[in-house]
Amino acid sequence: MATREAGKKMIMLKSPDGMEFEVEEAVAMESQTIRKMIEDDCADTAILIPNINSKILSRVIEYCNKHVPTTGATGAAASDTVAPAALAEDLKIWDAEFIKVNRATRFDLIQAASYLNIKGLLDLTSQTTIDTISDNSLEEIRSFLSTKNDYLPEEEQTIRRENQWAFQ
Amino acid sequence: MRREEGETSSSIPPHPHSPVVGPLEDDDLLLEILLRLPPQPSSLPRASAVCRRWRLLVTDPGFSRRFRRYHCRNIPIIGFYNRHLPDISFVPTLKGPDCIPPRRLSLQPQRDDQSFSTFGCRHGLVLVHVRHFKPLKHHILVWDPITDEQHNLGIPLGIDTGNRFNGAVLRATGDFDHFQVVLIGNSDERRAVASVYSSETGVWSNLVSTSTSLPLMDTTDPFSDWCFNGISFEPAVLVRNSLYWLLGADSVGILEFDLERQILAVIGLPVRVGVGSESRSNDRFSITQAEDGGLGFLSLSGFSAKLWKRKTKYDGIASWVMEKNIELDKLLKIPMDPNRNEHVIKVIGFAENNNAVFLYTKIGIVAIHLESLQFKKLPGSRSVAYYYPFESVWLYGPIHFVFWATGDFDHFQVVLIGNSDERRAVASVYSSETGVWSNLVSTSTSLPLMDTTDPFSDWCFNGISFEPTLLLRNSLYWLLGAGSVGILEFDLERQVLAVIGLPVRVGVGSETRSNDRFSITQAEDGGLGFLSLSGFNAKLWKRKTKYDGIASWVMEKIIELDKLLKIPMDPNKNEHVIKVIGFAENNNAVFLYTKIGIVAIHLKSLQFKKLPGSRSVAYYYPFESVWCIYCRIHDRRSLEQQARVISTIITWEA
Repeated sequence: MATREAGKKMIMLKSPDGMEFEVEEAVAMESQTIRKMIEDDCADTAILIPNINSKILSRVIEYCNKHVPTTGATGAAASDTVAPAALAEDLKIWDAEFIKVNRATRFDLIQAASYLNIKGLLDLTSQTTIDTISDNSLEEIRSFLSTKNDYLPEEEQTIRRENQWAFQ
Repeated sequence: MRREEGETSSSIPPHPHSPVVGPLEDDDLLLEILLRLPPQPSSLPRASAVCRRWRLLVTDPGFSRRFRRYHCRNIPIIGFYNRHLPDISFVPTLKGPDCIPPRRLSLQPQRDDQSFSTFGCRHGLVLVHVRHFKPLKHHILVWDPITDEQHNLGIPLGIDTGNRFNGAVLRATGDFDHFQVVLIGNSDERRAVASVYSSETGVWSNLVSTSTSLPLMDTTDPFSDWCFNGISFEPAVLVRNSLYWLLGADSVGILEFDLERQILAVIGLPVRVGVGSESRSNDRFSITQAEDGGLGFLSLSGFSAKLWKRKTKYDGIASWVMEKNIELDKLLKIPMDPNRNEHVIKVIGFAENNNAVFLYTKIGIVAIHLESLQFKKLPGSRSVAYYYPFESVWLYGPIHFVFWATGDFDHFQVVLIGNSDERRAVASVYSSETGVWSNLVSTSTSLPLMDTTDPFSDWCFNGISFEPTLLLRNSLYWLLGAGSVGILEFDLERQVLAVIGLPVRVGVGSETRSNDRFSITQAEDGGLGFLSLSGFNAKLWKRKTKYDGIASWVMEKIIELDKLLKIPMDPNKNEHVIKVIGFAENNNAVFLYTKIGIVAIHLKSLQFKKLPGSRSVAYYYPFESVWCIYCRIHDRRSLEQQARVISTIITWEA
């Protein structure tokens, strides 16, 4: 039983490439998927996270570490208390730094956030993706997201004509 | 996954999708991303132009609901409606690609004697009062300007008393499929009355009225001298679960309708207003939302705007408390001119989702966000009519833009054929788009047309059979039967009805159910085909039109069914046991009743399949449909792609 520090329960997260990460249970429980396993008593002290490599898993843990609700003076996790404005502002700046990653990493993080059900991280990664494309032209969006235009020219014309104002 | 003795590690369930699939290939993840597109009008139309898959995703009703819910606290003011009879005219407020052309969201009367006015908008719907003058009548219209969906409602008797009435439209939280309309009026006993319509039940509620026609003494209100003498025309403000109307003209106070408890009451104002002291005193006041989310009130006095909130004490008694005083001249930097009338600021609208008040000022029309005090000058006219802000998330439902006529999945047509008194075949077409039946079309003559190229052209018409129709290209075909011989053809485009002879000779009335030996089919070239059974042979014919325009039947193929289906031969039994019991036009498959059960044969590939189910020889009506998750697909090609999938639902055996 991996217990460390003053009564904080530790959990071992294992990536499929063999790396192990020891994290506080509260940090791991930022993931609703892991939380449910722990609450349903389906989790051992070591949990294998398939599909997420160690590089991405370490970033996810970094995010959860930062976003885990601060523990109060009594040591009890105050998960329901809302972070004060200053703390929220600090987190926002931290998030902005955290998400400065290349496109491939961000997509990996989106997948990991969805898979592990970490709402904040999914918000951050998806919103960043949208923000990077929302002011771009269709051609730029397609090339940025490697999406192929599979419309026939006359079909695309019809779609544009449908709501012409949106393409001004 | 219970923990077991000796196990040292557990694993969370693997990802349902292959890990090599990127987030943009995974529909669920792409949806998560697209959900965060800004709620501005251009977002979804632009996203739909990226590629087919994106279009399918963003036009899905499920996505629409999530998109609306995701942005429910961040709904843009797309523009506003102006009180401008007889139209409901839209004035856009957004810029660039989000600036909707006024025509796109305006409603114009279809007839000269019609006039539209609005009671306001909410949750993407506009409540319209439609008046006709010849003859004099009126009704209520709930209009979705984005989709152009319209629902006409009658006005309940208790509201339609000849006095002015007002109303509000809304959707219940999270319910995007239904709406409610609340109408308020002035009963004969000078009480306020209300009635609620629910689109879910389709009925108006009984009349609710204020508990007393006498002013309720509200001792905690300093200016509790409200009085009710009728309804004003300003639109309602929805705060929490109640609608509030500012009374005006001869009345003073706020009319409150509690949607949950269905109670109507009048509340006094926080400031003293003389009854009828000013012709339009309401342009100095607005109902607002207080910072705590409850009922608020704004009163203008010179250049200062006072914000009040309604506070309920522990004993349940409510009173007005002043929250804030905004010095508008300083905030808006209005240049002062001592020679001019200073009281030029007027309230002309309130946007409840954005909690912003619209003011008419010397420097133009300004929208002020009451919490942040951020403000924005609005483009458009300087008229001081009332503004009805239209706040909505732009959902992508291009209902009235039909892509291709053949790709019209919103409308349907019904063709009925019958037997006229003169023993002619007649047809009438109903279109769901126009909602009317066409005039009767009949065969050009009641006498058989001599079709010299048909060897068996002795068709005759004595009535309609019950077999279903076959749609080929742009014509419908019915196999005649009973006392008739031939095929009835209805050309949908030209609306012409004709009878075609058969490629085989059939004695009139020779067999009670001769039609079970024949089927109209699709020929390999996609045109009209015909199948005739003779013993164990199925002959496939096609209708061929020569260069001179004369059509005739040509045999295409003979199928030896006994060999194909490996039907065991029993010389002691009746061999003619094979019957045609159905035809699936999309799959071009004929359904046969045979000794070995019911068999579907694909006529092109000759692949066949035994079907489960009863061995009865009643007619089978194959139900072919794409299982649409997307209820509105305007993209014909993508539907065709899906339509191809349907063939794999019936898997053919070699």
